[in-house]
Amino acid sequence: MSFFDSGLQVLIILLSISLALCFIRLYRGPDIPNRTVAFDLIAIHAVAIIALFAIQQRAAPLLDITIITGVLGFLGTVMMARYLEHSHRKK
Amino acid sequence: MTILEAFVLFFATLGVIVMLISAIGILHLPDVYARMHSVSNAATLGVNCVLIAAGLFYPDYLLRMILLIVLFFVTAPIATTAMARAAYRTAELEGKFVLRYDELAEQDDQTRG
Repeated sequence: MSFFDSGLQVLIILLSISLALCFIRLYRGPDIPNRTVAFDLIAIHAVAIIALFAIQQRAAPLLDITIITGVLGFLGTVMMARYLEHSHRKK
Repeated sequence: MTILEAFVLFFATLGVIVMLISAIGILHLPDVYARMHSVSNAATLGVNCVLIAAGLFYPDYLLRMILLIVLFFVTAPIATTAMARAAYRTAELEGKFVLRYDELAEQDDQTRG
């Protein structure tokens, strides 16, 4: 295992710790806007972890998944924001 | 370790450090708007450095990674604006803080009549 591979392993572990911090905010967030913000950051973390994993495993086709994950995270965030706004307006 | 791997590791490390700081910020900052600022920090500099590293490592995929970076730069402000508007309209903000220019409230007053 070269220095490059072990460095990428350390970076993936650091990103996993960072993802755990985001999940703490998702669990603790006082209301739905805070949880939506945490969800957005979790989607971004998923993109970064998949990209680093594709580099480490020498599996280039995994990079296509990052595009799909990025678009889905954006759609989920906008959908939650629209839902919040409309549900509040109806009251 | 070639020079290419050194560049890849440098960009990936920069991106991961920015994302770790952003995740600490989302736990530590007091307000939903401050947390939003921390998220947009990771969505621009953090993930784009990691994607540049992946594009440098696989030159066939460099064009797709640049496309994804452009996509992030287009979609991140839209998502942040939608979230900020939803948070503003749902939260009880009276007396929490004072904005000098509160354009969204003026818009609401106009539409209300």
